[in-house]
Amino acid sequence: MSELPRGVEQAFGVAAAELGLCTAAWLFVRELAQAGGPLLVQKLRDSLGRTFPVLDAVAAQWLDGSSIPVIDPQAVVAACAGSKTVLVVGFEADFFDALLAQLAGVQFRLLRYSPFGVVDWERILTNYDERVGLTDLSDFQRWAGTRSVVLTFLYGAGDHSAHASPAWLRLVGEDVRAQFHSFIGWDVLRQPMYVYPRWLVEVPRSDFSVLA
Amino acid sequence: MHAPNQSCAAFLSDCGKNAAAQIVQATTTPGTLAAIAVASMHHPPVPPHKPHRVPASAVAAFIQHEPIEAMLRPWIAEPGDRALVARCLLDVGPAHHRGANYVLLRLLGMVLDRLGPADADPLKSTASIAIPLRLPPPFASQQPESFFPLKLPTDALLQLATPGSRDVDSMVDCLIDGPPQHALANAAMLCLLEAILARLEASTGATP
Repeated sequence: MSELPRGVEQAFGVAAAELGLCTAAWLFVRELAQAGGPLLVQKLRDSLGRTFPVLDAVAAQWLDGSSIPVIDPQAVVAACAGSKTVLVVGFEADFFDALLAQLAGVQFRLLRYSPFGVVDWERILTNYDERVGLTDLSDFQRWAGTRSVVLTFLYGAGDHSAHASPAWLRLVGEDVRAQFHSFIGWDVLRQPMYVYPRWLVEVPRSDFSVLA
Repeated sequence: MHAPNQSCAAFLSDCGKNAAAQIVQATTTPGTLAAIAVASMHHPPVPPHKPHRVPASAVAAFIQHEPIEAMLRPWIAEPGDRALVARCLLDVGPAHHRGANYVLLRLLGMVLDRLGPADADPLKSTASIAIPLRLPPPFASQQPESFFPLKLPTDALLQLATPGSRDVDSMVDCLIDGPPQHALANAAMLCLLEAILARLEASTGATP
């Protein structure tokens, strides 16, 4: 294959909404690399990189020689020690799956909010057992407490700021900062983005008790 | 150079209410001057605003988390719990509250340190009240995790009011009400004050 398949942008949008920007990016980069090698990955970057900056960054990582994402949940697992509930803001399937496997007995609540608009959260939920459920902006405080932590996925973090899903801004007000044990940011991209970080927001690094 | 409205206001301010009333009477058509005159009659002139000397970004720049978290160690064992309380004390609410919490807690901590080491763990109050997280009513619960990890000690209050009296209940209510940065600062200060009183009593034999 030497050309991108038709509809790849629409397909990536759907995948990113349900799998997460970084997880979907690695999936598409891997598949296109298998089908057409570096040239096709470069075409993907040129075609969709401005629209999906996380995809752009992942394609760049792959072209630089990183063939798989770094998924190491240990720092997040340590930060969740003693917790009963993890409230997950934003979603990254590959990273969430790795964490879920390490935290037996902990329940997870996925915040039903996406910058992509309507997402079939029930379909996402069917991939998991009863430990994983959904919550909304109207009732997420049902899961607040001193044994509850809030986890979000970050897309690059510097000394002063990090890029997060807009869902983070919807959720973390000053009142909420006093209702949960800690706030964990998991940097799933581990490098700055090359193009304008569309779909994401820049937040202060000090938002997070732990940055993994 | 003053804008016309400012000049009018300044003039009316100098003339006083009687002159303002005369101007209103003399004005045949409604307009800005009449409106200013009426406003001047009802609202005395306000001194010019003096800008705050300290910019907002620097109000709480002196705050450090580490000494406060270290100070809380005798009352809160788990580091993450201490970080939660420190966050509520120092990161939440208006900047002047954060700064005031920091200053007062640090100074109380210094007083306690200068009174010497505790002999028989005088830092623990025999009675305390749990402080609930500020959750919307539908989500409030009696589960332990729905309360802050720092409790309000009440032994010292018994030096101000009769045990079991309504006054004690009222004092507790005043101390644990309000936003987290208030209630937790009150609790932290009472912890330190009780420890200070206990050490004073141990060192001097002074009783209330």
